[in-house]
Formats: sequence, C-alpha cells, structure tokens
Amino acid sequence: MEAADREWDVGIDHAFAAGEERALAEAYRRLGPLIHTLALRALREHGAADDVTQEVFIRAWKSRTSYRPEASRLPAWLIGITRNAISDALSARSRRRDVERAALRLVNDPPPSADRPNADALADRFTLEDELERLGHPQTAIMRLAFFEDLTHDQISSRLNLPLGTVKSHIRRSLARLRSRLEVEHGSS
Amino acid sequence: MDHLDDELLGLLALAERPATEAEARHLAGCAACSSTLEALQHTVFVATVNPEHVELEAPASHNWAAIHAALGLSPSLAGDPLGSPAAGPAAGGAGAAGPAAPAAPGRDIPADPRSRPTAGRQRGGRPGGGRFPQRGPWLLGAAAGILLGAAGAWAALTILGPAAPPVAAPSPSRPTATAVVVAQTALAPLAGHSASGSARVEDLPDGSRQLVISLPEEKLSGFREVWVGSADLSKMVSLGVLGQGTGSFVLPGGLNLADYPVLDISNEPYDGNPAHSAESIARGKFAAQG
Repeated sequence: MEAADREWDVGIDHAFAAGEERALAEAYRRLGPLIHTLALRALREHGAADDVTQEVFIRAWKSRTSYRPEASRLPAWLIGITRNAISDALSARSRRRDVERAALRLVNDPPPSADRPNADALADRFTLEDELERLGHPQTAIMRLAFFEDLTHDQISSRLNLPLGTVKSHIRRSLARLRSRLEVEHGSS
Repeated sequence: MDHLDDELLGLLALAERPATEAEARHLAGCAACSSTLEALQHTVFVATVNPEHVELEAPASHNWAAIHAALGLSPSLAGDPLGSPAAGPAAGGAGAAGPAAPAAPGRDIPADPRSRPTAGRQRGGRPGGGRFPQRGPWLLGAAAGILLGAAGAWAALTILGPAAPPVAAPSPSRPTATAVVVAQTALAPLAGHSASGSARVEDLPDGSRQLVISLPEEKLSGFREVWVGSADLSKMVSLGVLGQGTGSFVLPGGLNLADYPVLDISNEPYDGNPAHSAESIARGKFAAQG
C-alpha cells in the first residue's frame, strides 16, 4: 500500500534506542503535546505539567538503553514513563497534603465520550496499539479490520478466508486481552 | 434467559448489530453482562479514538529548552521541535500538527479532514464513533507504521490464500527493454519482528532473473540472510545476505520458483553455521508461476 515513506515508527524507535538525538526531538515533536496534556489533566497546574513533561523526556533519554524497540513502540513506552512521572508528582503532592483537592477535581472531570475523547483516551489508544500488534497472526489483522475498516465478522471471515467461528472467537479473545491490558495499565499506575 | 455469551458481547461492543429486544432486556437486568459489555465498549472506544477529536495543549518552548540543556543535546537541535517560539497553547491534535507539518514534507495531509475518503464504511454509527478520516501528522508515524504492518500481513494473507492476486505477467510478444516483474509478494513480519517489506522477481533484458527485496532494517543480533524454500519449508536455498533496506539477488537459472515459492529472511548469528538459524524475520510467498 502507501507504506513506503511511512516507516517512521520503526525508524524512530530504533534510532532512539541507538541514541540518535534527533529521534528524541522527533518523539518530542510528535508526543510532547499528548504527554504535556496528560500531565496537565492530572496535575491541573501548568508549572507541574511542565515539570512532568521535561522529566519524561529527560528520564526517557537517560534510560534509553533499557528501551527495547522489539518489545514496545516508543509512544507506548513514553506514555508508561509519563504515567510514572505523573504518579510520582501526585504522591509528592500528597505529601504536601493537597491531594484531596486534586482528587476532587479529577472526579469532577467529565468522562471521555465518543464526541469528546480526551488525552487519556488517546494515550490508552497508543497502549492498545502496542498490544494489538502483539496479538499475532491473524488476530492483529482481524482486529484492525474490525476496528478501522469497520468490517463485520462475516466480512472479515471472507476477506481473510478464515472460518466464521474462528473469526468470532479471535474477536472475543482479542477484545478480552485488550480490555485487560487497559485494566493492568491503569491498575498499576 | 441465560447470560449473553462473550462472543455476542464482543460483537455488540463492536456495534456489529444492535441488541435484540431479549438481549437488551437481559442486559438491563444483569449487572455482570452489562458491566462486561460496558468494559468492552470502552475498549473499542479507546482503540478507535480519533486523534483529531482530542484537544491537546502543546508544551511551551521553554520545556524543550530545559530538556535540551539538561541532556546537553547537540546545538543543532536547540530549536523547539514543535516549532512555535511564541508558544501559545496549541489547540488540539490539529494545532499541534500545524507547526509540525513543515518538518515532515513527505507526508501530505489534506487540510480538510473530509477530503480523504475513509476506507469501507459498510456500517456507520458505532457508538465509539471515531473512525479515522485523517490522522494528525504527529501521530502519523506511529499509526501508519502499524498500518504498514497490518498491510504487509494482509497482503501476505491474500497471497497465501486461494484468491491470489494476479502477478504482473511478462508479455513475451513484446521485446523487453527493461526488467519485467514476473512475481511479487509482500513480506510480513514474523513473531518478535516488526519490519514489513516487499519482494519482486524481475526478468532482465539479458535473460537472467533477479530477486529484489525491500525490507527496512531492524535491530538484530545477527545479519539478514535471504532464502527461498519449498512450500513446506523442507527445502531451503540461500540466496545471500541482505544489507540495508533493499537488495538484489540473482536467481540461479535452474531454480524453479514454483518449487521454492516461499521467500524467507532470517536472522543469522555470526556463528559460521551455514544452515538456516530457524529464526525468521519476515516471510512472503510467490504465487504460482504461469
């Protein structure tokens, strides 16, 4: 397909792991706004959000040797670091005892919806994309067709030439796996 | 009524069809089924979030300056990658994309999200809504790369399936001034690998036949070796070492691709053992030759 000039992810992931500084700048360009917004939503304070944003990229770069491009995409990895940095910032803050106010504000935050997905939902999407790739063959292809091409399971079945029951059970298992990945991601942060 | 089975809940979460009246009644009264459905719907929602609909606030320039200074990065990277020195809050995915766009000249994004038709919309109106009319350039790499993987896998599946697409057939009647592609295949990554690529077999004007492989490099423990194998992989012939990105290999005249339709790229350790390492990076299959 139109794949030729779109190998950014692998290239950037590997360049980052190899210590190429321009990969860090590129990651910042692409993910800085998301990471900054996640921090801002959680911390409700520009100064604190700035600190987290800087912390994430500084931490990421310093620990780049522990990043394994084969195991995870850079966005998902950076979002993991972001979650840790935010939670560090929140616990530092709780030691300052204004945690109650922060918690109240978070509760009042409207949940994401189809019309108004928020930065957290987008961050989760990166996490799921990572997991989606790990589903393997043919589950990844099946779920992409279901999610992004909006095909029904019988359309997928004929498109991939797989039995209907196989497609259905792959969809069931894959959805369950994606769901639990999301739960793990949030439970552990 | 029994609980709704998980396959059905999955299809409902994907909004393949609305729940029947009986199913809806059960969901209304059953906390277990309705909470499972809700969690699955949320999963679908998240997986299909359209970045265009997410409002993001770009970090102001002093953030990059601080990172740059803290890490002692090269002076050539001193400029804010987000490229907005005045750095008012950049609104939304589109806002973040705006200043970034010039830095990615290869990636043309239509200004109007609706100007690019979305792929096959047989059904509309899933509650998760977010189909992908367009991705912001800042996301493009990640998302497109994954699509690339899927495209490779999809192409391989197509080729391996019975509905193999016709290969570009040589036209023997016409004198061939240039190389003629006689077979091609996508290369799909195997477990643990991510690079997708393509390969084609060309008839050259001098009568020889060459295999041209394009497969982006990934970090490997060894080097990349190119093999063709029988359909059951019981026989393998090595064609040589694939360096960076693209490589060309001569196909020996006596080698019939119909007997060796599987193209396999392996990761070979530097151990001097000439046999296949059993670790394949990517694979494709040439459709039967005419």
